[in-house]
Amino acid sequence: MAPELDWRPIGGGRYSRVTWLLQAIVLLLGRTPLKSVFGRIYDLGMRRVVAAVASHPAVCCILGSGSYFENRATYGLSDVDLIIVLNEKVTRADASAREIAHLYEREQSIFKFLGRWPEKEANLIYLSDIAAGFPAPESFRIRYKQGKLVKLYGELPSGIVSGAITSSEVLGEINTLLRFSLVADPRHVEREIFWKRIFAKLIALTELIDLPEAAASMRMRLDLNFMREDDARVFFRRSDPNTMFALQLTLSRQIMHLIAAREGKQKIRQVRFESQQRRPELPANLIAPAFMRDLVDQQLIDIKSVAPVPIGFGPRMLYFAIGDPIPMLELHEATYEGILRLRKIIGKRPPTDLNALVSTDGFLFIISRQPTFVDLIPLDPLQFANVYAAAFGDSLDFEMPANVLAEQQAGATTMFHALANLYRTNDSKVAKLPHPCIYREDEGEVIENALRILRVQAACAPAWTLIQRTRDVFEYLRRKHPECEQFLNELERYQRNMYGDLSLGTTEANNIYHCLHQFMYQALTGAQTIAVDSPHAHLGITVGVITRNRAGDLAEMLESLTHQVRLPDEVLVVDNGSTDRTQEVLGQFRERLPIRCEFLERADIPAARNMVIESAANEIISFVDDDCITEPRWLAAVERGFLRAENIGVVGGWVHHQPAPHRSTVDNYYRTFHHTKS
Amino acid sequence: MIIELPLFSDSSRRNQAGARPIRMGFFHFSNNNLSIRRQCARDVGMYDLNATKSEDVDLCFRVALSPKWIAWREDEAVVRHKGRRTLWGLITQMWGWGLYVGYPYAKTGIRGVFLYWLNGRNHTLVGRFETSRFPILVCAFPTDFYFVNVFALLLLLAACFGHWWLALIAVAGLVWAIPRYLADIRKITMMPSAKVKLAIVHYLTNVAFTVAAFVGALRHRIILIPSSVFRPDHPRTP
Repeated sequence: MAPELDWRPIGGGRYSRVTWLLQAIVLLLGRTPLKSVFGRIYDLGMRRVVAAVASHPAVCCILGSGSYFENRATYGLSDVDLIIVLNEKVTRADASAREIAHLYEREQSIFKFLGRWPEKEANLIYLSDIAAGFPAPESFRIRYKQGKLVKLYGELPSGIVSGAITSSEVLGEINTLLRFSLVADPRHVEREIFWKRIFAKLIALTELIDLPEAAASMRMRLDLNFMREDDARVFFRRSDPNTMFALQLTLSRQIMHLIAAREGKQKIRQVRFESQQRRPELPANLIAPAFMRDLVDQQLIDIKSVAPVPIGFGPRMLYFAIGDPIPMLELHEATYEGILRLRKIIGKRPPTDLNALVSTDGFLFIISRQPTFVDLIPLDPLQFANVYAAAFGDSLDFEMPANVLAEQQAGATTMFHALANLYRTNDSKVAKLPHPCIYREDEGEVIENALRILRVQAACAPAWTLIQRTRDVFEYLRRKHPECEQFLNELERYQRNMYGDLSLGTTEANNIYHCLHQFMYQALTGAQTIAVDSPHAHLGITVGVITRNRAGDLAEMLESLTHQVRLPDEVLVVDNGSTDRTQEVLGQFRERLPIRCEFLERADIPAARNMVIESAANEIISFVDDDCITEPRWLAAVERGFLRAENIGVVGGWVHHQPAPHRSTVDNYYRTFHHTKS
Repeated sequence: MIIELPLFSDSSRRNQAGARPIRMGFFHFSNNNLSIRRQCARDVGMYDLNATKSEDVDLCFRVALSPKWIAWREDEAVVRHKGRRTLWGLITQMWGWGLYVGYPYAKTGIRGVFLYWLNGRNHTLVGRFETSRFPILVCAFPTDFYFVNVFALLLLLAACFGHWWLALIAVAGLVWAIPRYLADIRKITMMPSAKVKLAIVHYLTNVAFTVAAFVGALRHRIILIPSSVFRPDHPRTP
């Protein structure tokens, strides 16, 4: 069942008519002597929310930014950005963020001008992330370096942000503004005041990178005349989002051009990994889903295939599979309108892993179907020059401004180290979440993500190795780390087995998850020699069965145990007072299974289970009932589960219904309502 | 298992379980496919000898609340279970489950009122109310099954006392609630007569389970209104 779809409000939040009306009233009243009253309400709201949030022990400091903190607030319209910094003890898995959200929302329900929590949540800074090596968010860094942050509570630890504003940070901000215009509520975007804010930020960015002339020329543009007008006038006017977005794109390009012109360019020649042949071009109808081809028929888009390349040189944008051509949708209509239409159409599809490039007006975006909305990620041509080279020139050679390239490489190295820390932390230990739940992981996704990260690492300097097939990632790693050949062979076989490909044979590498973590944290820190444990490990398992007068069922269950691909080390049967031929059945299986029998006269199942746990010869005890039939891979899966981490105390799976020989309404009931259960 | 259990480890704060889809057995594994590390069992206090027929629920509660241990699901760890063959066998099984499920709840020692309104069609949480300020534990997971029964009862009352306006409200309520309650069965490809029989069996087992759970919970001085039996989603759905 698809969750309720909300394709509009990210970043800007919902912008209803009521919001507009309230803003209009406050804006008009703000021009009267009531302005001072609004000022006091804002002050009171700020004091209360800061006090409430600061009361949480996880909060290290609170910073503010926006026009309110610069004493030039337009009440009703002002941005009140709060940046909440959480101390080093708090991780993303903790409940702290939700608890702080609760405190915030309680105040925000009274002081609506504070803005919704999701906007603030994007500004949460985890010092634990920074300690692990992840960089602070770009928008925070840039505002910090501009000195635009006002301290509201606590002290920000030193050393989080240092140095001057970099070109990559400015490019990141330009991309953020482009994204914001595309994903904000369309009712907000059609207001001129929205664009006044966007262009003001864009011009401020231009000034930041020491280009005052460019900023002045932007201000003087006739189509930006409204920038000089009063907020109250602009607020009541509509504007055409298509024109405005095209202008934003043009100005963004101008800034990028100026950044590129300031520094020399560096030519990069990627080397396609040698083992591979050039991939045959796939026709467009095979790389894009059918509903997109309807848009082609309507002449709204063209679909092209782009050779698989990593998105930039940082392990952040792992949207596309290693070996699949990237679908590129070329828009034929105005950028804003076209993208909005695409978002609506994709938003109606189920939340599958649907990602594509969008090309419009010579600019590239990634469109990505997320669980509850459709996201747009702008790709500027400076940081993502390799994608532009592949998309528009099908070329392995491209140029990047030297400073941007150096920043990208430094950023990538930092991220690889941070990811290595993450793999090290998660190796052999699953972080406990703040709410009770059963843990599971999509193993295919874990392996695919690891391979995508390693592929980006290969794509970075000095080798610039472009890998375009999953099997080549394995081959590349085998050549680079021959000492891990056995593990890499098993991993490749394991991954192929997951997708039903048995061409390399089958594997029962039950320790692969742990080995992958070991490999990743060494590979990402650039270790020359990598040591991993054996991908095959063994844990002693006792299968525990409690039985009482079900000799027939017990025989079927024991028979299924003999077909396990990983046989039990011990089968401990507790006979809970049977008077039928249970012992005879056990005798029949003693040669095929290591059966041991204990007796407990009184019918007491919990006591019998405790008896199994205490007297089992092995540390792991797998309980199965005598009226069950085990699937052949059951015990192998249990062993794999326990090998994942040392703090996994209980492993379970699924209980399917075993259909009765003769169909009945009761059997239908089980098939329908109990076909799977825990 | 039938009850979705947002364990109330800290009832004063918002529970993240609310943001998740609701499905049966989300927090515990049934004993017929449960594997445990001996050290974990010792740390959480082994099986409770007083937890008749709900010892697996109780054990998994304690694992969930333990600061160290976690419960992990392996999708490939599959066993097939033979269900009861007769309607009476099914109803007594559901009655047995229901009667003893209140014990693990009572054992948590948590007090307060926790109401979760569940949508039976897509098994999601529609609304919730949580407060720890109440002398006993009250847990309710109303589903469309309860609405059908409430409106049916209203209709009966209206017929007995001749309140036609009340009868109208009850009929309107039934028209709203019955299709929702039967949503799972309507989705199945089956002969209409088989669907009717299935609906009857489903209703009877729900009555057996919910009544047993309510009565059983009263013995432990808590009020428990469990959710009715859902059709579970695909196993890979988290």
